[in-house]
Order: sequence, then C-alpha cells, then structure tokens
Amino acid sequence: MKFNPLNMHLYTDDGTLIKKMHCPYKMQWEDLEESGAPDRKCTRCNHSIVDTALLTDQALLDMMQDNPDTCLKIDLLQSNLKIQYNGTMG
Amino acid sequence: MEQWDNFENENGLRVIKTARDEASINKAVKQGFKALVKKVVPSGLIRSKYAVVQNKKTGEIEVYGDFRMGLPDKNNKEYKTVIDWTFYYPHSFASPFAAYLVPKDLKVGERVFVEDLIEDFIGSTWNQGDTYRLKSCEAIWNGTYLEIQYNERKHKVEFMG
Repeated sequence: MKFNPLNMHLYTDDGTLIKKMHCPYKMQWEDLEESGAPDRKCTRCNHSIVDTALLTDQALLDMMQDNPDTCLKIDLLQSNLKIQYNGTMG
Repeated sequence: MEQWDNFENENGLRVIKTARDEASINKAVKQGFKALVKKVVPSGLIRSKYAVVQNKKTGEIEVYGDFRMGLPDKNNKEYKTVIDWTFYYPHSFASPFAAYLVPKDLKVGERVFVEDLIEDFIGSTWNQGDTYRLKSCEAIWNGTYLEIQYNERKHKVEFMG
C-alpha cells in the first residue's frame, strides 16, 4: 500500500486508488469497540473499521469493491505501508 | 491543495471562515463580518520530505516520500537518484496574509470551529521526521481574538476513514 498524507489518498503498490481516507468523527482506534480482530466497530456511525496492517493490496481492493463504504484504519508505522506523494507536492 | 483534515466540527459549533485574499476579506467586511487579519507565517516545524528518482532509459521520474522506499545506489542500472531526500514546506497560500471572519454577533466566550486555520499547528507527526499541518480546530472568542484550542496530545500517526 501507498499513502499520500497530503491528500489522504490510499493506493495499492501499483498506484490503483483504494480510497480517500476521511472520518468526520475524528475517532481514535482506541475509542472503537473490539469486534473481532482485525476489525473494530465505531460507536458513532456503527461502521466496522478494518485494520489494514495485515491485508494485501488485492484483499483491500476486493473489500472496497464489495462494499465501497468500508472504513479503513492505517498507521504510518505499519510495515505494509509506504508514504508516497506521487508528484503532488501539496 | 488539500491539507490535513483529521478534525471536524463534531460539536456542531458555529463555523468561522477564513478569507485568504484582499478581495475576499473586503467582501466579507461589507457583508458585516469583522476581519481579524493575520500574517501567514509558515512554521519550520511543518515539513514533508521527498526524493526523486529517474528511470535512466525512459527519463520518467518517481517521487518518493518514505525512507523505506530505498533510493537506487550508483550500481543500479535502471534508476538514478536525481534529488536526494529533501525536507520542504508542503503548502502554499494565495496571499501572505489572511483573515478570520468573525460574525458581529459572536459572544465573548463562545466556542467556535475554525475551519481553515491561518496559524501553523502540528496535526500529526511521523517518526521519519515528517510533520503535518492541522487544518481545523475549535477556538474561543475572547472579544479580541480567537483563542485556538490546540491540543498537542492529539498528534497521531493513525488514520481512519
């Protein structure tokens, strides 16, 4: 996965857009209810939030195609994520 | 340009808009707003990094932002580094000044949501040295200026959405 923290876009390693990260409720991971790893449940919007740390690009793409409203969680420190600006310099 | 957008008006507060050029400020003043004009001063604490590598054959470039990407060394036959890791201020604004547009009926002590901060506050940090700008924040009107209710403990490295 690649993430652009300036525009919040999450991509696969080959540059396919997975989704634009956006949470209107500024929730923190520790605020969410545990609902069976790797997901947690948001008490504000009742969505499940999927931790992407152990998922492959393909698994994420499949998941987003099945349900485009799926919420994701990424951590800049997770090992399967790279930060890349894709030429967008702000 | 989009900026760090991890804070929203979750408490439904009155929103304070920001005007970022002379014409917009004057238009708002004519509409009855009080303009709190401030300098736009980039903070040295806000920074992102990049490096540029170039395909030796095609000339196309790739922009990297993560040390883990690894830059090509001198023996790499396919790519060369044309710009080594460089930190920069990743934002640009229309004017070197801006103004918060305060409604004239705003009460002293009223808590508001500042949608587009003029000041630079750190919204998040990354352990590779990158620090990202906070876009929005709550504030309290003290009758003279907006006291930005910045909470540095809310820096984070994780994102949801």
